[in-house]
Amino acid sequence: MPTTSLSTQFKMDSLNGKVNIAGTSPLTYKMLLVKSGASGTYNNTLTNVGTPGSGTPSATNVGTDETTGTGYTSGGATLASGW
Amino acid sequence: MKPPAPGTLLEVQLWPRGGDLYSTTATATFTSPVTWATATISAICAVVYESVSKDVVGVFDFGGTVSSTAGTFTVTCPLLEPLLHSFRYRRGIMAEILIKAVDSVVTDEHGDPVDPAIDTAHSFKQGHPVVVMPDGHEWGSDEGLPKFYILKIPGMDPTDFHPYLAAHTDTPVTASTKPDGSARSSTLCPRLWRLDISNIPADVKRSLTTTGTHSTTWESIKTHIKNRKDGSTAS
Repeated sequence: MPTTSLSTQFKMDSLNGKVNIAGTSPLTYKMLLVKSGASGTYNNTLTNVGTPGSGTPSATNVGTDETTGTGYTSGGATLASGW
Repeated sequence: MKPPAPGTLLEVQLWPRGGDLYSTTATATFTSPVTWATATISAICAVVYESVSKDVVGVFDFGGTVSSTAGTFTVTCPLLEPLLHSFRYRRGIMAEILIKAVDSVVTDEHGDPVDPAIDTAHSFKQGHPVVVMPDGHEWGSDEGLPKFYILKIPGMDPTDFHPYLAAHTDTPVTASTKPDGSARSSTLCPRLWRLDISNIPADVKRSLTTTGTHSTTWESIKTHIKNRKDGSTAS
């Protein structure tokens, strides 16, 4: 069962100044969906989505846990953002 | 932190590189809901990530399986405000440890090195923790590179680190006593514990040597804090 949470790695990276959001090339964030019956663990331990749609799900790869279906493209959708 | 504006999907407050953890902030606000039009899909949660590094920002549970059939799948995931408050609160408890970046050396009146045992007993060496202070302590201008590193451990009460500031003293083997009758001992080294700089993870070392600071967890760093007497690691 998923748990709504910030990634622990993201927290550490932000504390260490590794999340560069103030540069001339703002980062782009995306949102992907995870299917029902997913085998991976979805909480603060997830550090990287890896290659969505491919590979064994793990803390560094959503892999085959990503949703598939009509109207959905692997990798998900880009978030509109303002900085 | 002000409440997110109505319609805000996700608001994340970050701290830029080298910035003060509280006064220098930047805010990322995602203002549009995420939708997939004419979609036949189902999902149990969403994952927000950075598109190039693929690093995850967070996971948003839908509380069950949500589906759409040839319709618009819209995600209006829970705002992160409560999580950020929680994160900020925990950050309020943080140990900042001043650590020697280079060896100090005791010299005699001519500037020559003294007996190594005397030098060891009276000088702080690379990796020795000097002092621990709470989050927000204003370090002096000399308390940084090239002489010192500052290791930040969010969530750690500074007093929990006090045992690792103990000196290494010998165990009395003679009947020598102080005037008050207590056993006499001598200092072998200003610190019993030492951050093993030579064996810390490469990214930690890179951060310390280039920026002078690094934030980490106690769990990940304690195995690199070694006892000079018995070789054990911090617990």
